[in-house]
Amino acid sequence: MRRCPARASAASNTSTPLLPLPAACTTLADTAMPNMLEVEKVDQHFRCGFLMRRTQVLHAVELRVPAKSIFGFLGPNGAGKTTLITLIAGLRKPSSGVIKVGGHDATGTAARMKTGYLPERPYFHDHLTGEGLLKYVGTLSGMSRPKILARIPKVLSLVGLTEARRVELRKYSKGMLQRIGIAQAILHDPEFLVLDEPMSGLDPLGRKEMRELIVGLAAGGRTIFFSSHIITDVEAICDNVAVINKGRMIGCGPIGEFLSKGPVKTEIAFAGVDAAAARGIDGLEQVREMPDGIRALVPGQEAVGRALTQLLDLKARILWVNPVRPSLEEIFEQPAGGRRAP
Amino acid sequence: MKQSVRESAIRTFEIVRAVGRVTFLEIIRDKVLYNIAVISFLLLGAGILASRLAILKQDRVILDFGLTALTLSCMLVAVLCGAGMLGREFDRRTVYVALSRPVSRLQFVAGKFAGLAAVVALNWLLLAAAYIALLALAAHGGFGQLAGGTFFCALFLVLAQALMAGALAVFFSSFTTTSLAVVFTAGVWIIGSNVSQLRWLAVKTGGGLGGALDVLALMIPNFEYSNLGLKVTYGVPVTWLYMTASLAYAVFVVLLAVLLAGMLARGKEG
Ligand SMILES: Nc1ncnc2c1ncn2[C@@H]1O[C@H](COP(=O)(O)OP(=O)(O)OP(=O)(O)O)[C@@H](O)[C@H]1O
Ligand SMILES: [Mg+2]
Repeated sequence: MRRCPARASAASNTSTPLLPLPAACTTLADTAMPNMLEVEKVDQHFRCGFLMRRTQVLHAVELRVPAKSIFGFLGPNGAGKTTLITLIAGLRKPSSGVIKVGGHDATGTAARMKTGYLPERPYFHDHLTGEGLLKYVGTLSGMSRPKILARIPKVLSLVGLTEARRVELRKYSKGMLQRIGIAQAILHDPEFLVLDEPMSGLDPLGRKEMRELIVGLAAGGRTIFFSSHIITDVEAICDNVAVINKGRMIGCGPIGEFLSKGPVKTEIAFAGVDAAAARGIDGLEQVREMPDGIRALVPGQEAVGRALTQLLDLKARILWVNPVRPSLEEIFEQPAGGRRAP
Repeated sequence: MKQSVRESAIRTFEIVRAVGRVTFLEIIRDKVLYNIAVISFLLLGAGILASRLAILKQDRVILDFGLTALTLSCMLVAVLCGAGMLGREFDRRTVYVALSRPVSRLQFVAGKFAGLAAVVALNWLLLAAAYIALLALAAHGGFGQLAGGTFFCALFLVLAQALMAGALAVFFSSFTTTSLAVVFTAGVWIIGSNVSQLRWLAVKTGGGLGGALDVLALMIPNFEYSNLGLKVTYGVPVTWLYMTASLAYAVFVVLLAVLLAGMLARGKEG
């Protein structure tokens, strides 16, 4: 059901160009689905500094998120992700433009009832226990007390914090805080989850658990919108992505298309050949010696076969061959093809 | 129509209670509170000492000293804890958890104030009990003779005064920094406790400046209404009308300050 376009189309080079912006950023897939989130021509200004100078942080941002999908929102630091997310969560009104959640204005009560929000680097009243926080948040969401009490154990076991429910939040680790953050966001069973960097500060295992948690929540029919600046977090679980840089949407669509746009490289690890000989091989770049052998990068997919044949001719022992995902920076750096430079 | 008004009233009550509870627990854990409590008990103790040194009217000295200590303590709690509350919520971004729910800023600020009010009231209750116990033990002329109706009225008015100051601190902190909010509230309290002097000054100066002082005297929250001053020392009776009026005035100031704070807190996170 939930397919993973990342794997499917990343390898193939049949890339349709990224949707050029500022055209409306509708995702190609699931056009039949109604949109859970609609962001139209949103600008955001801030006044800051002593002189209250106006700086524009978001420039005519357009975005549509189909219902029941996982949507990744990528951008480097300072791109304006958090700014847009606070607008989506209804914490403030945009300077101009419209944001609708499930057809309702994002700052209204109806939209807030539908939305669960995990702030960036969540920090909660640390004198509360995990359970205490959930009770507090449940009341604020307008849930009745019996409903809150019935829901808390479910949510806690979902995020794996049942044991820690009576522990004060000040004693929680970063990963636990992130998870109680998810728990408070889903307590009132919202259809739409907005998560601001849910994986930041987590170790690889924590990231994996968070990804599984997100996929699990989506399987229950929720729409999930989350931000990140790390492609690997997004590629494994998202249906669609949008990329923002310097406050402008620079692309939007199924994730595979993004990855295929980036410089595709392959890492080969091998042993049994000395470094000098390896450097002589045509197509191998950045040859590095490691205790267990040699690593080298091969640019482009055609070169992989050639390099491997030459290595095998030299009687090299191949340890592994691994595709290297382009990082966000590399996607930004490549010359604009089919899209305007920001 | 009536139904929905009722429902939203209940909902507001629930929110205020939930936010108030969390705020109460938060302040209770704060070190500031305990420092103030220690100072207040020291002041009460100093009252006994001072009364021993006084030659005449020893009981009156304890009475005055105690009331001053109680006022100061409640004021400190209200202002120091109240001024930091909103800023801390915004700085630590704990406020987003509340405001991303169907909760208005006004409801939130009202909840914060309710928590503060509970702490102030608790502090007041404990100190007042200690104070009364002290009077009962230390008064030579008997407690009943010393502390009549006026005394108890004064106790209640101290609470009213502290709640007014707390609401003002919350109001100022909705648009300035914590330290400025403390300074502003202290300023308003000092001027507001001397409104009659201000009026007198206005008459003396006259002209444009006098007019300005008159307007200030009219606008500034008047803390004199809740300060019985020498009436307590000499046990001059106060009327029910006076009590009702000054309590109503305090409620009015509190409501207005919280309302304005709820409106101004909007701009806080830019
Ligand atoms: N309240 C504010 N007042 C003034 N400027 C702000 C405010 N909030 C954000 N900005 C500015 O907006 C820009 C985007 O910030 P934002 O936090 O949205 O970035 P981000 O994409 O979330 O970055 P990160 O990955 O580091 O979290 C920054 O340059 C920041 O300085
Ligand atoms: Mg951010």
